[in-house]
Amino acid sequence: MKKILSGMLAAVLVLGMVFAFAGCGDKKEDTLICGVTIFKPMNFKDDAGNWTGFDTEFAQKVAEKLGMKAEFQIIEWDNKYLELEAGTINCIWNGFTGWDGVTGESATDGDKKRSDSVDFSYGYMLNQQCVVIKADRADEFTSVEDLDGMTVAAEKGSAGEEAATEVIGDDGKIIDSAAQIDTFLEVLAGDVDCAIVDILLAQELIGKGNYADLTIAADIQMGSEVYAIGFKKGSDLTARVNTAMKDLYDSGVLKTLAEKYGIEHCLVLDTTFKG
Amino acid sequence: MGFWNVTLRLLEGFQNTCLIFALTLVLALPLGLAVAFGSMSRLAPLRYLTKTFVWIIRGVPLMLQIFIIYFVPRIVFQISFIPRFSSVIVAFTINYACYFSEIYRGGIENISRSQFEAGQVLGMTKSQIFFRVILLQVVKRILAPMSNEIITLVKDTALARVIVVAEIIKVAYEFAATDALIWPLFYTGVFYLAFVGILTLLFGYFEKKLDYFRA
Repeated sequence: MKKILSGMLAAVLVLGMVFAFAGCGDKKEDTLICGVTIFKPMNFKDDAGNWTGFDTEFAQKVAEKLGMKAEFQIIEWDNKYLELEAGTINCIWNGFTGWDGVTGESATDGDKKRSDSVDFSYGYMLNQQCVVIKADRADEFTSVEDLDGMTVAAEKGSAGEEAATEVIGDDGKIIDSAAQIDTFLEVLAGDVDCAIVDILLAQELIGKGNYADLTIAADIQMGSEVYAIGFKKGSDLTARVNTAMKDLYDSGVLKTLAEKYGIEHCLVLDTTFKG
Repeated sequence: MGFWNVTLRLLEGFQNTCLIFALTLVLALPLGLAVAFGSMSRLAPLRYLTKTFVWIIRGVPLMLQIFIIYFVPRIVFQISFIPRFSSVIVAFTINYACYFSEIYRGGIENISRSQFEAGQVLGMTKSQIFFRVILLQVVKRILAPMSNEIITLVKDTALARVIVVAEIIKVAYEFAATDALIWPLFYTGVFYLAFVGILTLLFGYFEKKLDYFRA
């Protein structure tokens, strides 16, 4: 019996080893692995299943300039710093809010940085938080003050959650969702009054498909913020990517790209922020 | 995105679901038996070691175990040779082996001692007694609790998404983010139902096959 048992154990171990090494990808210095979530219009897959989107093409162009190849690794947004720390990705490049404020102002305002866990690149896009509501309740939402005391859904750890904290007052409540798209479900379910998410995402999805009954509260303006790429602290990639980004911006390549995805009005180059 | 296209994409995710299920089962069933022998061993240190191990594995959420196996070697030891999918398989295998081991143990300890003694009188070796006399009776007795655990495994595969293994629910979520479609998420339930339905029929069939073996 011992023989059979040890045979079984050996088989299990061998099988285990095979699986452990089977998928073992060789990590090369010349790959730029970008941590992404599916976030239209920044990173998403076309009907054929290929990666596309503004950030996708942007990363590919930057990588090309650096003599590297861009790869995209889907992550859970909650785990982005863990993944960066673990070295499974080289950067977080997915409409990542680097800091609050608008171009130029941000330079003097270091405390507006959204995360101390990463080094940020130059800012490349302006984003705003917006309020997503059920279309039939649109008349209840005319100004930021209306949100006072409401129950609001926002992605955990997102800029939307931070914005929500500022506007709902003491009686308000935040429902932390795992992803921005989950907040739409919460609004549809009716248990929350509204969701606060990135306007770039909302404009892509709200009013379409199963989100047809939702709308963006047009009269509520929230503070703006800047998207940047997050790198591991002390990484030499930050400076190299910044140089490539400036080249692409100055030569108009980024403008053409932004026009392709209909977001050229948000494109910026914010080199002032020191993070 | 029509119904047909969604179904096709979900089927791709369901392949991963099935693969996690099948690999875990193939690896955890024998490993569970080994663990069961460990926890019934006459060697006290081995017995306590195994029991402590089973306590830890059954006492910590499977989701956390997946996290630990994937992230801890990378962050603490800077070792990264176990890819995402394998990490899931390792975590599931260890976890389910521990649950299976207790079911095995219950089954084996329930066989009356006299059968071991009778075997010894007939001059059979220990392994002969176990594999020729005991095992099939154990299999019959543990079939119901095993089927319970195996059906749970089908649905636990959904946990693989915490380290971004594209099982069916993860794929369904992509539709909500890309095509503004929520219904694929609920539609995945049909796949699980069908899978568990087939398993239930299969277990019913095995039970009938083992029916002659009335204890």
